[in-house]
Amino acid sequence: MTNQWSQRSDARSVSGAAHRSETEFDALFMAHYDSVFRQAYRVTGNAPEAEDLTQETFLRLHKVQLDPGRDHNVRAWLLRVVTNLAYNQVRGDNRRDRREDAVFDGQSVAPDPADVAVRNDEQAQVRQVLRRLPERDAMLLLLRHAGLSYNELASVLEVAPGSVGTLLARAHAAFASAYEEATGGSAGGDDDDH
Amino acid sequence: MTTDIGTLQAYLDGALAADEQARVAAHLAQCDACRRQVTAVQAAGWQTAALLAALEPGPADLPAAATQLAQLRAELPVAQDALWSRWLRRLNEMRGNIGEHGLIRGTPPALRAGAIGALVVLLLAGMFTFAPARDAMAQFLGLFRVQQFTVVDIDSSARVQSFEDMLQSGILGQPEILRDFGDEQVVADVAAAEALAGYTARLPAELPEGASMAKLSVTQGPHVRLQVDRPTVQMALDMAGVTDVVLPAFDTAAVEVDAPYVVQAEYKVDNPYGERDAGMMLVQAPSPEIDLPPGIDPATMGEIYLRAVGMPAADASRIAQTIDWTSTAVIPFAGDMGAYQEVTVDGVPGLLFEESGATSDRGRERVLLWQRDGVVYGLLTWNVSDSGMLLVADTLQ
Repeated sequence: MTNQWSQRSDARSVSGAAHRSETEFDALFMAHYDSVFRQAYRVTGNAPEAEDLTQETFLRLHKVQLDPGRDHNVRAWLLRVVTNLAYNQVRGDNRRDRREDAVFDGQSVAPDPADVAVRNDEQAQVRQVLRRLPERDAMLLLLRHAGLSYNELASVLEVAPGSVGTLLARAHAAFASAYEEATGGSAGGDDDDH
Repeated sequence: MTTDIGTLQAYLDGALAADEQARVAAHLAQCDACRRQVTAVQAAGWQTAALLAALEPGPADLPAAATQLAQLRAELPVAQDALWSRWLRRLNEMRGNIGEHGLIRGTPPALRAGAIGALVVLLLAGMFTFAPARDAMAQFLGLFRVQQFTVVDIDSSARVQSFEDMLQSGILGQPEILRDFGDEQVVADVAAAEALAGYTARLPAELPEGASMAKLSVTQGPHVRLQVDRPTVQMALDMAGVTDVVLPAFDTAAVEVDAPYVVQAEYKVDNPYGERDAGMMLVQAPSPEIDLPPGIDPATMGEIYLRAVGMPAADASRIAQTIDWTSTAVIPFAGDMGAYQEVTVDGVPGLLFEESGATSDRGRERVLLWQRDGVVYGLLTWNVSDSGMLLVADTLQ
């Protein structure tokens, strides 16, 4: 938990905290709400859940009082936090799914009723494939998709900026082949003619 | 020269340095293998984009941001707007932000009029010591004179807050800055602090176990003048919901405040309650010089102030007569803000505030206020025991 007091030795961050008036917070909320919600929805596929995750993310923004020198990174910060939160939630769902798998003895997992109501099959399938990827790959793809720059991705994933390209290329490939595997190699239909 | 898939990916994303982009482009022009490779990398990227694009919510799923914001605002825990954090914010607003960026240059007009104007104009209301509890730390920066603290009990903090918010809006106009806040100057020891501040600063001779000084600094307060006219003040009171009081007769009035140097000592305390972060901040400043317009009865204005923060008319009238408004920091305090007690500290009476629910997030935060020999002291602590607080306050020298 960020401790406001512990930041006091850094005069700049403290003064930045003062700068972050409630008006400014409101402006950030309005500016970034949609992209944060969309990111939560991409992961969970459930609008009420995404709504809650988005609120939680902004609640954290309200608490942290970011350093003013890094204001341009508020968007990256928000997207990182919401993606993390969403994945935490999905991890819980996955554990539940696995338990249900065990209980129902190999029967295919019943789709979430909410999923059925709001999603088509393709969307559900893409999401399932994404969830099966190594989490770092999935987060990398999602954050890149949400528009983070290489430098922002590097700082989120704590890797050198120079290695982001390689990680991305591998994640693309892994995603593509996992999707093909899940759909029997045909449903993707993205095997471009040259 | 190799062009691995990572480099190709970065090339496609335009994420390479310009010369590197050019180098890869030149290489691709003459290398079939790499061209095939880059096509494959690009195709995988496109497929990812296409698949992820399928995950977008439908228009009906996307909540209205404004509604969500209102909802979040309604749900923000009280602690977010907590007494101590507001004190701290105000303190930093004045000392750090305004001092650092310049009151005129870098600060938005609303904040300028807010941070300085609000307090100065409150002084106009007859209060040398105008003091909503949450502003007490700001007061340490010297915008008024304190010889004693008095708490007046009110029903709810809501009125204090809305009154304060209204003043913060800059309704009372723009103060004239005769001297800006100084920069915070970090000093090595108390002698250096005194040399800058021009008065005798006191630091604790003893510290609680595990405590050490993190920073000692001196900041010069501002010298400001605010001129307001009677209709403006009347309008502000109307907005505060106080419509049945009669302001003293004046056309325009100028309040001038010359704030002194503030000496601030910050301490880190290791693990007094286990893993929680703990620390203290000791702030001291002599009383500022304040010039008020002549002919205004402080008790009348004090009564108006008490009305504005939500005290019923009869109580306000009675209590206003019992307070020496020329020397008392009046702190309106409601049960929903927390608890306070009168204590003896540093050989004099003091007030110890503890916010309700303050143990939830940062831990136990408290503020101790007292005045001795013309200097006002504030000790803010978080997760420090009673004995630790008293040790610091009682061993000042």
